[in-house]
Parts: sequence; C-alpha cells; structure tokens
Amino acid sequence: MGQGNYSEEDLERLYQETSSMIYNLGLRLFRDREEALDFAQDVYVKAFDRLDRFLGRSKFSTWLYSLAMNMGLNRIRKQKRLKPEQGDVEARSLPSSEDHYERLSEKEEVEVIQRELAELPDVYRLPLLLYYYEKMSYSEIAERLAVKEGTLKSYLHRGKTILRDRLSQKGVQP
Amino acid sequence: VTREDKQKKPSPRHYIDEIRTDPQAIPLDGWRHIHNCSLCRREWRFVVKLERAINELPQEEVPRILKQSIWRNLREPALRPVFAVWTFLVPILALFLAPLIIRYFISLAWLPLSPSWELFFILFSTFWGMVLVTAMAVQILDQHKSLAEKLEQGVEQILPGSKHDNFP
Repeated sequence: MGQGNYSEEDLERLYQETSSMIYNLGLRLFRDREEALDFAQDVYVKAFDRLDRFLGRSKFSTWLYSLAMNMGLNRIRKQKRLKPEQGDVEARSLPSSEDHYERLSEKEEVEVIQRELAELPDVYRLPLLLYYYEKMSYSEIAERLAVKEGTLKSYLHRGKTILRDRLSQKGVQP
Repeated sequence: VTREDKQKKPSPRHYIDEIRTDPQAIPLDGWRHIHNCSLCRREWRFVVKLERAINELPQEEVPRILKQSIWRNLREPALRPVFAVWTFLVPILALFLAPLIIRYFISLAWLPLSPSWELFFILFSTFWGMVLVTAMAVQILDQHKSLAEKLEQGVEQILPGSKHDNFP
C-alpha cells in the first residue's frame, strides 16, 4: 500500500473527517444508498492506496473530494447513464391544474423541488447538480461528462423546463 | 394607439431560454428586461429557488458498515494479479522473436542491411524487449511486496497485545 508515513490512527481520523462528505457525494451522484456505499468504499481504498501521492499542497479533504468526483463521474460515464431517455419525462406530465393546489410554505417548496430533482433522469439531473451544487463551469462539466458544451446547455435547459412543469403541477409557483 | 398599431409593434424579447440555459450570458439590457417583465422575472425566481433547493440538499448519516467494509478491504485485498499472463508473455516472446524476424527478412533480401546495421537492429529490439520485461517484473515484485506487508499487518492484528487492538 502507498500509505507512506500514515499510521492507522491517522487513516481513521482522515476517514472520520471526510466520510460524510464522500458518502453524501455518492448519494447525490447515484441516488442509491447501496451504490453510494460501494462508491465511498472504492474511493477510500484508492485514496489510502495513493496516500504517498498526496503532497500536502492542499487540504486532504480537497484532494480526496477531487479524487472522488473523478471516480464518480467516470463511473457514471462507464454506466452510460447520460443518455436522454425519450418519453420518460413527457409520460409523467399531466395537464396543469395549479388552482387545485394550495400555496406551499418555503420549506415545503424546497422539499418538493428536491424530490422532483431526484426524480429527473440523470442526463438532466447531473448537470444541474454539478453546476449549482459543485459550482463547476460549463466547460468543466462538459469535459467531465464527455459532452459538448452546447449539448450540456440543452440538457440544463431541458432539465429546468421539465422541473418547472412538474413543480407547477405541485403548487410550487415562483 | 389603434389595434392595428398594437399588432404592428414587435413583441418584447423574453429571456426565458437564456435563464434556463446560461444566465451568465445575459447582457445588461436583458437583466433590465427581466426586472421589468413579469414572465421573465417568474422564470428567474424559479431558477433562484432551484439553486437554493440544490444547495440545501439533505445530508445523510454515514452507515457504520462503510467503515467496516473499507478496513476489511484494506486488510484483505483481493489477491488478483496486476497483469494478465499474456501481458507478461508477449514481451518475452517479442524479445526472442524480434531478432529472428529481422534475420529472416534480411535473408530474403527485403531488408538490404549491412552487417553492422543488422547487428544494431537486433540489439535494439532485444534492448526494448528487456526493458518491457524488466518493467513487468518490477511491477509484479512490488505487488508481492505490498501483499506481504498487508499479511504482516494482518498477523499483528490477531496477536495478543497487538498495537492494533482498538482498530475497527
């Protein structure tokens, strides 16, 4: 193993400090607890194996997050989860009847948006996550997801349009 | 203003597509329009709500099993070979075959080489074959070394009074 001068206590401390961040990244990327666990395990095994490559120029958590993000997006690319699925979204759309819903509180609205976001196909959900949560630029997202920047923008547009339609039906009004 | 005049007046340019696609590309005039246009303003408010909802995505507690499985994996790595057998055999075969192939072509007069060039090519191909084989050998030895270290750690953990007693 390439753990260098790190003792097992060091590794445990590093794990305690970062495990929530990595596991929750897995949940955001894969929406599945089993897969998030498997992903987090892969990340830590690889990270501890490459500890001798960590030069200490940045914080360990930054280095680990970058490694995890690379591994997560590679996994997504290998699983070919970034293909627009025809018909999956339209099938769920119902005629809008906003008047039948009461206005939701702000907290409820946020929860509804998060639920609806989780229901979006990966191809629309992941660009939104990477842009708004990870604060990546369009060019970086396009490169990481191996799509053209124009395609990425169309995914973002489509994702927001679908969400907007669905949320209107659920009483979330801007 | 007559109805005809109204019909002739161009409809205002909305920025809904830009808001959904790339808000950073909206020009200053566009933002002025968004400020004054109820349709675009609603769209922008939706994007702000979406951003807030994404930034406030709930965090889950990490299951205990994750730590156990990571440490189990670190202690008992799968004993898988680093390279498939063929990746080791091919350079060895190349090492022996390359000089023979060069010699064969020379004998057919396809490669009109002087004896010194012939020797050079044979030595050159042999050299690179040896480099490849050495690189493979180093990798395999390194893998065995790290496996031996892990086994040693495993033995330490099961011995009474081991320094790893409190380890998960």
